Amino acid sequence: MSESAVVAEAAVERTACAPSISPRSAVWLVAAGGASILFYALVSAGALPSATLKWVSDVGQVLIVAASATVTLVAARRLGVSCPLGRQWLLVGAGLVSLTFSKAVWAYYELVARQPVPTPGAGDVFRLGFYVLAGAGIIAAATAYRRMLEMRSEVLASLVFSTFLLVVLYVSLGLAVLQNPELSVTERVVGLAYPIGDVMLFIGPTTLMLLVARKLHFARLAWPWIAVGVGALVFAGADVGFLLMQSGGVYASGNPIDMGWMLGPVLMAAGASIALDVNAS
Amino acid sequence: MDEPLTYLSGDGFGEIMPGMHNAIVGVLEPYMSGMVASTFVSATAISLRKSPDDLCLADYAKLEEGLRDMLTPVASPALVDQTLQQVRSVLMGAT
Repeated sequence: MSESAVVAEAAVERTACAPSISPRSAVWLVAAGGASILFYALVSAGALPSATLKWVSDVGQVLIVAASATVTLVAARRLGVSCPLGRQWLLVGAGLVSLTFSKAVWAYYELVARQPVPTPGAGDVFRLGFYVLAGAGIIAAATAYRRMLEMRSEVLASLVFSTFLLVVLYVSLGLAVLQNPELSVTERVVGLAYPIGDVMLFIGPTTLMLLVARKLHFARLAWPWIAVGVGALVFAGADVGFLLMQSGGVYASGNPIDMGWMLGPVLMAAGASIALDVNAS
Repeated sequence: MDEPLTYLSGDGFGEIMPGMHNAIVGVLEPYMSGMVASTFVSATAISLRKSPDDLCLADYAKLEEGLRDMLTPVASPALVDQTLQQVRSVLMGAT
């Protein structure tokens, strides 16, 4: 073996010996992910009365999203909010805080005030705040790799995919919302803002992030954002499922798709924890 | 931050170091894949009007500047410093 090969091999061994994913990240994934799956099991088993199920669903979502926001903000602080990477995570964490408020508003109307959640209302403002803040974090993270990678084809692919999804959503849901005479103009705008926010601020940037991760051959620097990407897609999937079920009038709180609104933030927070692991190695 | 040229100087400072390309790629590979790391080293060599196999320790300052510029937006300052330290250690071990 040549001298250069020996030196390179030694370097790889040295880096490979560094810790990869810490017990902290594993415990978070198992505990928070397990709680979300347990919730799904409770719902699908039909073991709980409807009123109890509503409490479990609403309070559970608030607690899990609040915990995810806390984990992400702590990670951002430890990474250093004065550096670009820390600011990216700060945006994702701020988005999760906004989502926590949105969930709290929803829970308050359903469980305490016992009246339909007003739409549009404060819950919608916080929910859209989540898309804007977390989406900005994901966009900032994906574009941060432009000094490392040639990204034009990835940007183009994610734009084409997002446009295609927007057209599909417009045909399948948008037209129905726009032509529904029972909805006010504001309700129509809010009704359209969710799928548009999902696609433009979540699915598009997430697609770009995952394509960038693929170009990095899923190496360590990509690990945290793979978790965020999968979490964002799970969350967006729950959103789309909700819109489809709601337009069909079959959605009720406690539905199994609620699990997506818990697993999504849990995976995002797992990404933040993994970012600490990768950057400490 | 130590001056890289102070770190990497002495005998053979300006001599071609055939293993330099592979040594740097070896350190960077787990973080960004071997292909991306190799492209970075090659691009830096080209900007110095050299081939990757013609790099020498005197080129390290340019490589470190490029590495820092590339890693700062995507890694913590601690990881950037640690990675550069690893590169220096490996290059020192090869001299």
